[in-house]
Amino acid sequence: MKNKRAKRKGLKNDTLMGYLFVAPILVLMGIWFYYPVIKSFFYSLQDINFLNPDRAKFIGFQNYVDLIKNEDFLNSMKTSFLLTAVAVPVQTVLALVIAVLLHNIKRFKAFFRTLFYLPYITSSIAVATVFMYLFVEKNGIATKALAFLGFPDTSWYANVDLALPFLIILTVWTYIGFYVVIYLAGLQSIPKEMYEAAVVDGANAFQRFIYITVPQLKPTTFLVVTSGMIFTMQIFDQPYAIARGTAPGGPAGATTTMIIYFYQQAFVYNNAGYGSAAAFVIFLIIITLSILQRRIFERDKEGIKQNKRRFGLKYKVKLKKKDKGGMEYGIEQ
Amino acid sequence: MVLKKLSKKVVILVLVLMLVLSFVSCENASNEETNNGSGESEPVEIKIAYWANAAEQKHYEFVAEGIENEYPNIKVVLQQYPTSEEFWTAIPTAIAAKNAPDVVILSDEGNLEFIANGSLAPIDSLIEEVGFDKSIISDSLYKGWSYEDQLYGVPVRAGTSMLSINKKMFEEAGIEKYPETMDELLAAAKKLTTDEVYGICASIHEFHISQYVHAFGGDWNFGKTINSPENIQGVQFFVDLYTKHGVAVTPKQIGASWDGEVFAKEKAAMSTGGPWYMGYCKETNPDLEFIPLPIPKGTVESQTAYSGGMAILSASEHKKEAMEFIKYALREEASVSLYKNVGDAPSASAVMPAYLEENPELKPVFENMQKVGVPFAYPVDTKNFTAELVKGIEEIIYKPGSLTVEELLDNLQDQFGIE
Repeated sequence: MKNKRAKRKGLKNDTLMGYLFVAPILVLMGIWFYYPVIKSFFYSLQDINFLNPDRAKFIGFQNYVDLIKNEDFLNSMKTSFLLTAVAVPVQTVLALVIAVLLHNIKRFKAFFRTLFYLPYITSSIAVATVFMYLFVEKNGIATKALAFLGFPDTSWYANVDLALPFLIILTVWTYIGFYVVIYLAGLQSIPKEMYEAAVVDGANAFQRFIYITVPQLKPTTFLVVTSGMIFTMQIFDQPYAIARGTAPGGPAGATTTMIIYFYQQAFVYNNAGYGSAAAFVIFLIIITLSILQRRIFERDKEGIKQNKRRFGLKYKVKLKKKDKGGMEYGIEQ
Repeated sequence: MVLKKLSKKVVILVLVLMLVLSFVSCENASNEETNNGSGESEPVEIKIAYWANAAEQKHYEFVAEGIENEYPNIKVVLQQYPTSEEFWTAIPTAIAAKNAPDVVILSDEGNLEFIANGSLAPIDSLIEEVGFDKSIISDSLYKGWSYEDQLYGVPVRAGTSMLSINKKMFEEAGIEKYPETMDELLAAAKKLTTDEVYGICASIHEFHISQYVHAFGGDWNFGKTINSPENIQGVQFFVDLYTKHGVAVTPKQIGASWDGEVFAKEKAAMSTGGPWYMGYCKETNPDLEFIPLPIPKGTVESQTAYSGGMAILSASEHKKEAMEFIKYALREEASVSLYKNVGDAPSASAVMPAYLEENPELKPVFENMQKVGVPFAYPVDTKNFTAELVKGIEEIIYKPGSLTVEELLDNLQDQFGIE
């Protein structure tokens, strides 16, 4: 009885400690995140101008109705989806390939890893500014090099057809290092014995990559793709930096992503209500895509467990305990 | 076990202390704001917000210098924004967040939206209260700051537009006559455009677009005549500089942040701009020889006449002190600093002759402004209108065939026009 009481008291103390530990961050999140989100939702139900917020008028969901009918918003959605659809697969594949190459080198691994990670930790405005100098007309190194491949000698970020590709290149270059590091961590969790067994069975490097590395990295890939999608959909720094002090999203709306559209409405045109509605719609889109992605990846996880046969090779790893303690991996076909 | 219990208590104590400290510091911060100015003996902090380049920033620092000698109860905090775009974006947000500055320095080309929405305070009674002498400033400049018979700002600089030309480039191209008409401007631009240099920097910005609109007799007229034939002609001429003649460049194209930088770097032989080019070019490229000219005639002689001024925000809790700052900022030495360091024309009529004596090259520009000056007269929903105008013109230039000038201005008339 005494023990039970002591146990209950101990649990109570632990619970109290837990709440106390999370209290400061909850308070800060409440002030800096949850309160603004709730306030923003109320703004989205009003016709409100930042220049005189006291003259706000309740209009229900009219802002949302106007938004989904607005051609400019629909164009910004198209731009965001295009940017994401190109940038995310490119950076995922490149990050995986670079991580695999880095994982296999013996010397200067840390140096190269740092080199790839540097763009991610450099100020995005500084990166965008430097890229603009590389892609400027007539004198830009990248412009001159790409002119040999048939691209026009023009400032990419000021050209309505090339501004979005420029943004894609900038995005991929900025974030790729982060995903390389994530993949490197994932690669380290794959048992070496699987590769050894595959070598014994005659698999070449490409086959080991396709049938061991890629499936084993599925959870990591899910993380990379989801976070890549979320970051890219919310990209703001780079299109803003490209604007160079003029209204962001140009030229002629070529780099107007959903976030830029929301920013313009809320902070350039002072339509706080309409801008808030845009922000909520963007949030709903991103969360829907994240949920869909999770469903797809969970379905694929089941597929791995069924050991699909490809090119006559099939691997299943089974843990076997040795008689005298210790463990060994056995490969069953 | 004892140690474990002790360390738990220490952790709890630290966490509770952190929470308490954070609440106390927030409370102190808000108390400081409330107390500021509540006692007459304590100096009142006045925040002044503006956009400024390097030369202008030096000038504003001079303007605020020594105010504590004249007004010991005032302490000035300067809040600079690097571009007008950032200024126009940040100030409404600050107003909404109830963290607005007391005084804003802005031009009358964008003030109507602020005035119509009640963001700027009428200052007639404040002027009387602090004893500011309105007559030191040219009467005509007050027009851009008046709305429904009330005054909302004090002009500090007389602004106008001009055509800046690079003298050396003109000489090298063998052009002896400087352009006096838009046709001559176009002919010169064609001759001056080479592989390395453009004939003219025509920034796709409402300020520059309006120069061409005015030159062809056009006028936005607060939204009444957006799609007039004269406006269409002016905008078409502007667009043709890019699409038809290929003689124009935007700052962004060459990696510059504004048209003055393009001109100072000698990437364009001509640029529409204003007297603020003087101070900037002197600092950036002292060897640059440039000639300021009146805006060339399209179908009419025209030039934009506007002013930069200081206004007090309605949200300011220290309007009297703000007005005292404005009165101090318009002292004679500050007006002299404006033209010596920035190259801008002061609004003070007594100082203008000295300004023109020091900058005799600007005399024809200002004389033209006196004769044919036209205000911007944007519609009330200024930012929305100018953003849609710029975006539309970009579409016409960069997506040929997508839109015509007439369609654009008709759309704008429907969206922003008034009867």
